Amino acid sequence: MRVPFIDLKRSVERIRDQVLLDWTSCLDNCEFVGGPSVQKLEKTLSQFLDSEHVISCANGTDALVIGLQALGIKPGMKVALPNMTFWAPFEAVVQIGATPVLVDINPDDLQMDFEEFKTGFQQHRYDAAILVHLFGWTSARLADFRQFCRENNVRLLEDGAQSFGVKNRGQSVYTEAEVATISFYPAKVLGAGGDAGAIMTPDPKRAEMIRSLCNHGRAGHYTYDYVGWNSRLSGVQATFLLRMLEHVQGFIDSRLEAERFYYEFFSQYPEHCRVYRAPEGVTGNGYLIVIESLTQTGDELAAKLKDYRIGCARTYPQTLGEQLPARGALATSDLRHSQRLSRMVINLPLFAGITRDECQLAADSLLKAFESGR
Amino acid sequence: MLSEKSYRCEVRAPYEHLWNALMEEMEHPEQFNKGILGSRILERFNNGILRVTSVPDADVREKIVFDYKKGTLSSQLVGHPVLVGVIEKKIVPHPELKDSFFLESHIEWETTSAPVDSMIRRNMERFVTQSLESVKSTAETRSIAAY
Repeated sequence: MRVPFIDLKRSVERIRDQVLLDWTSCLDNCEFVGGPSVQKLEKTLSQFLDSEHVISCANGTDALVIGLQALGIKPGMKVALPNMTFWAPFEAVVQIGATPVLVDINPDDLQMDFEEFKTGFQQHRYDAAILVHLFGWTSARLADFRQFCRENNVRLLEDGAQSFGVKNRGQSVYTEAEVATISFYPAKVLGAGGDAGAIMTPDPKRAEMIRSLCNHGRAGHYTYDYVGWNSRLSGVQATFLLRMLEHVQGFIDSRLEAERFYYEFFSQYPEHCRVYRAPEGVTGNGYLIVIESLTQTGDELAAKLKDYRIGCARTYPQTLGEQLPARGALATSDLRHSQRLSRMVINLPLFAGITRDECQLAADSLLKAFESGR
Repeated sequence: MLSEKSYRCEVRAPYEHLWNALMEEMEHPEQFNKGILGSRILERFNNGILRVTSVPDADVREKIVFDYKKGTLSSQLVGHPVLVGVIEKKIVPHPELKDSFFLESHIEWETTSAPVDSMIRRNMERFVTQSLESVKSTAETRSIAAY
């Protein structure tokens, strides 16, 4: 049996018939950019994520750029961000003309390390920070990050691309964020039928500005208040997401069940690896199973899993600071924890609808890879 | 926190007359509401306008979008320093009477300023009902004149 790393068909088949009807309606009503379905999606997301204002946009990367702009980040300002994350936050900072400052991760929760962030502030005096809620959970120190940023006038953008459904102390991770962003890339916990994203804020004035920034900075049709972006959602994506939302809690439950299986399985083999999941007080969404090998590198394990026909990923195989365009970037330390994780990390198949047998086979295969040695 | 209020009045006039009265109010709000000192259209587009209206102590920009088929007109505040809001007007057919309609007005607003919120709550009803009644009166007068 072959186990894919991800199989979106299993989610899509649940909504396929309804989506085809919705898309026909979108065509009939010419709901190509914005429209009633987009408005409905924004209201539904606002309730689901317990965030006062949700503004949809074209993708999660645009959401970061626009979120930074809405926080007043300008060229030359310094923005702290974790060294271990997807490339988009780094891109967003540089696209704004600001200067990234890389911060190492905490070795226990794998999120940006609060103590290093705090110490680094003494040296770099960041104007802003991007706190990425990574891997399907968030930092155990989320409240400390928010408080520190408020007290030191550091504008905090929270990148929740991977954290749909994540809760901190029982509250949606998006609720208290000054500005938060999300991605609906198809592989995400809530995925669209293409690229899509959104920006969230509790502040009505900032929400108005964000909505304008997403739409060329428009005030009227050919009257502009800002230099903005063309980053809007179509009815086609909105209807797809609305249908996915009807099933998303089931998708999360399915992911969490798989995560639990892997966690319990590999907890029996501490000589081979360490398995991570949401820290205490945080409810995760099962976005990824993050396994840090203690012996072989992630690349070595991935090669073996390929032979065993088990799909896998390495999230992320290089840190931001190791990427060519980021060479020489400012940093708060030698970034050793993120660099080590990037060398040793391996992710097994985990998606909505994965079966117990598939998890078992994937876990047995990785164990075999560990036991076969180098 | 979002606040909202709704008002409505019955208008005994054909749809065209009511719609035209709404369009006139969009173009010249000061003729329909004594609380508005003046207005100027900044931009006209396919299905709406961007206008600035002068009220005591402030100039306010609104983006107004209309839909003849749906009988709707939506007026969204733009770029106010402490206030966001929208006034949605809708023509709803009377369930029993021919050539009679209800003109509904639904207002939503949210502000970061407590004094502004209090000012809105004090003046909202008078401000909105005056516009509705003026539109009703214009439509009904035209209707009588037509017969």
